[in-house]
Amino acid sequence: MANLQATTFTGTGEVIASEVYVSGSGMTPWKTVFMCPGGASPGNNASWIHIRTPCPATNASSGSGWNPSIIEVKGYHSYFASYSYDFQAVINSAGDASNNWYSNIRVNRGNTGGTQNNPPTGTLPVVYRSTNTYNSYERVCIALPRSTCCCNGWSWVRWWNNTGILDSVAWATSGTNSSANAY
Amino acid sequence: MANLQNSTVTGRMTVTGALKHNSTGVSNWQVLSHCANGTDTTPNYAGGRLHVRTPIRADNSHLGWNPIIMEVRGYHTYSGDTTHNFMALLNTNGYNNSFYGSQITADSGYNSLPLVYKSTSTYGGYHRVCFSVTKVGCCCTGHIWIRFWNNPTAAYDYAWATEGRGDSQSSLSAPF
Repeated sequence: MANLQATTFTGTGEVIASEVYVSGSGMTPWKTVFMCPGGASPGNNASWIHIRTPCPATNASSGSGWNPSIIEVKGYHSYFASYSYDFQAVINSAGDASNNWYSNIRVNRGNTGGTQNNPPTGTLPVVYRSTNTYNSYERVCIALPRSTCCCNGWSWVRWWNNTGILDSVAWATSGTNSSANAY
Repeated sequence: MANLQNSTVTGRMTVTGALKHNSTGVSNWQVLSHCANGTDTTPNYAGGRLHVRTPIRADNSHLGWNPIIMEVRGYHTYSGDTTHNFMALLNTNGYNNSFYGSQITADSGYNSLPLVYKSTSTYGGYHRVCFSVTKVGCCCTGHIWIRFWNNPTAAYDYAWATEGRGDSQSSLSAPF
């Protein structure tokens, strides 16, 4: 692995396969998530996609207790942007024994089919803590409303603060017809 | 050209051109000035609309059933007479090549009145995605930043261009 000191690239640099992680910024790179979840019925025809992230949702992971993160989500679903996503939630867990979970969506510019002459209306994304544990911890999960087809759509997710508490648990998606906990 | 494998840069990394980051699907920000030439306005830099021609092909060769989010931020004049903060979904119908560019899915700008359209002329053999926003009648100072989500390699296909026109959102000229 090359270890470079302060470096200048002249011209266009291209990162082919992986990511640029700017550790000094306090933010993670964007994670790209395809909006066709598949899986058990209704799968691709579901009205909600659930995204399980690797971020622990508990103070037991020695990182998130009284130490909130911002989770930022952007994206769209279906060719005609029937749904678009652009929100930020502050996620946190109580640092005491209660280990209570907080997820407050404080910025939401998404829409459910707005156009230039038909102003957007708010989507209702949900951020929750998984019921089950994955590699010993509950995980931060997201539910996004979506069109009931595979069609085409992507979402992008990143965190601000607490980037060091993300571990190696894989991302996962699932399609259901409810915004309620799927993990 | 150097081809590096896994690399760590300690300290500041400076890229004088663009940084194409293929795996995330997010392009670099492109920055443009608001002092466009005003070819049909007198004097130059008159008010009306700032038109921006992007490198994105407005047809099936890039967008057919494969939408791109275009995100725009910026301001014009010292006091922010206009500020831009919107996202539009760019798309073409995979069957008949119809262009869908006016789906502005989020707009929290101020006096921006963005419109997205397909160029009338072709550039490099293709129609290009263009947009216009409100422009105040002076050069003053102002910048606009644009980036794309999904299919970011399309952002490097042709040169950017800007044009100032004395038109309005409801009566657009077609500078490109």
